[in-house]
Amino acid sequence: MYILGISAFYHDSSACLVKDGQILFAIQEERFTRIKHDQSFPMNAIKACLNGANISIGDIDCITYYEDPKKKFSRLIKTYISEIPKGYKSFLRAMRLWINGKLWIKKIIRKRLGFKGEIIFVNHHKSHAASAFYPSPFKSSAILVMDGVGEYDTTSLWVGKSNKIKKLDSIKFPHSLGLLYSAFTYYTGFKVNSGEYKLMGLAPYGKPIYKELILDNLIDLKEDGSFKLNMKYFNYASGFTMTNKNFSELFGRKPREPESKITKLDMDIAASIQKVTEDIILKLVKHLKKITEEDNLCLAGGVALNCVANGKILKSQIFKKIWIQPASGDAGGSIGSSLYYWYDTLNNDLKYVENSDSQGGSLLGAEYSNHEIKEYIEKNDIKYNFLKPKELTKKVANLLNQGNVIGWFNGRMEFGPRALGSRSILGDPRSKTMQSQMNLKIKYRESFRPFAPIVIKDKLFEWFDFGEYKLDNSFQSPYMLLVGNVTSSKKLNEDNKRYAGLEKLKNIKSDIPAVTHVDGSARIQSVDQNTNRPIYDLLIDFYKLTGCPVLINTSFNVRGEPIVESPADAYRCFMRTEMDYLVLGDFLISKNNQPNYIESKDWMKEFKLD
Amino acid sequence: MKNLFLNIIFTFIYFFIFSPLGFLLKILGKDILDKNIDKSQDSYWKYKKDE
Repeated sequence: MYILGISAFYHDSSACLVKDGQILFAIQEERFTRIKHDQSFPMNAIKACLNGANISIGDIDCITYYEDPKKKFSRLIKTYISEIPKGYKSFLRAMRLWINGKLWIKKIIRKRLGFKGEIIFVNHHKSHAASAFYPSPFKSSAILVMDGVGEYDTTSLWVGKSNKIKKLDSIKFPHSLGLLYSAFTYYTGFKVNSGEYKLMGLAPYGKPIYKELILDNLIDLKEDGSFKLNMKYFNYASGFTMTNKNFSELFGRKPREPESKITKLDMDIAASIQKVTEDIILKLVKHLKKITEEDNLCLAGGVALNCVANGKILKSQIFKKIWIQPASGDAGGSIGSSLYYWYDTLNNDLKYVENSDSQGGSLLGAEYSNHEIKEYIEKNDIKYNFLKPKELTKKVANLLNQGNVIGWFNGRMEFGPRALGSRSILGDPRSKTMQSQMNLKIKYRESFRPFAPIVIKDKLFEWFDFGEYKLDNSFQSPYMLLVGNVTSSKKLNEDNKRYAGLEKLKNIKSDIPAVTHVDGSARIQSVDQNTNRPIYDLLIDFYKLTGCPVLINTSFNVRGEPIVESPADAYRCFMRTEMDYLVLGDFLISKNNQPNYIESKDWMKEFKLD
Repeated sequence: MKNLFLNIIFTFIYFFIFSPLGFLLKILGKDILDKNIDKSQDSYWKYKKDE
């Protein structure tokens, strides 16, 4: 039985194809339209899913949609009535959007796809909870969902046992941890729904001196993690901004203009809201443990992309094991809704493999064969070397060791916001200059964030740790969603305290400075040979050559651009930037002997900033 | 044209249906979004174990 899951019309549209409970494909629409966080109907992603499985829309038995539009609409109406006399303009805009489309999802799906079968709405948080539990390596687990808002729920507590998930409790709109974090994202001058990771990256530069101010004024947080926001300070319920005048007065400044200078205030605010968020999450986790008595915890919802907080959950050891859906934002709703229908609604047995999740390394996108790549290369007169896989990884390891930056395009594309070694830009993490070199010459951004390390799974605990949490051989962090410590940074980092602000990043003491944050932390991704063989082999060759089992892994794109999907996207990005080599499948392409690349327009203006 | 039509309809709904309703609810002290903060409460959860 084929189920097609769809997530659309808010942000990060995606499609997912599930066959008898197994995820065959899951792809975000942004990769095709080249618009980051694209929210349009995921026509391209659906086509790619169907093509990949070699089926047509007539073979689909059921389509699931990741939320219930009518319930969401009723929440909007309720909100506007409650907010009167505020919100007239926002109301008109929302009504136009909903009447012109969002309310008639079934009609849109039928019309766009010519689909005649059943269409099922699965509630937003239920989709998130399902996306966290069913692909996890657990038979039984507590589930925590935290995001901005779905229909009504913003935080929900669940328990999953075998093929069923059950909601225990929830916090409802307008009280939302996700929207609280987004409000601070907005206030510190970043883009809501995509710049949250920047706020998190800024936090280690500041001191959490506004923590009490936030807890005393903006939020009433109870000891058991339940909370309400003081709506006097927020404007998101019925306005066009996240925060209001009262919020600005509380911190003594207007929201920072995007692209303007980041001040100490922004850094301290970032540190404070990050600390508050971690405190709330740890209280929620404790409460969830108390009411479920489960050993395992699954996480989803946009807040679960806060990998610093995730690391704190792990370190707290409240739960023995945790698993986080890598596409925990709204893109993952397509996976969740379809798996929910298969397991819970149709009551099919849970497929379970000990110690192994069924997310497949999140490598759920399309793959390009060497044959297809060669066709593209030759059509465009690109000079290349074709190498056998073993020679290729050896050669690339050598090039990395010499300080080259490599665009790495290999195998199936990642699902979720992170590049995990299939559409990645790689570099040598031991280099002191690599962080700024890659940021300025390739990503075209001044960054206060270091890159993320990709590490051989068996070497993880030699190079990283999670405080008190004991790592065993089964431990992995395959989705770059846990922040731990770089072990070598501890002994070397003492005198970094004398540097202030962004200077700190240039003076990191660690064996792998390019992937070490100013507080000695790193967003870890581990790989084993089963999930992504080519990148694993490359890491092994680099390790044999240098003794370092770690590489820099950053997404294959420039700032503001979605991750590359096809060989053409990859080559374009390669030629626009100062990357030295490009690997497309088993083809190695050097920047030196390429034909002149002429841009038709100013591409730097093509992509908006987060 | 369609949007202008929608604007007129929804302006009518907003001022002649929602606004009186909203004000009425305010006068009656109804908190339909559950916005009110209660510092004296220990918890906002509803689920009780062993229920």
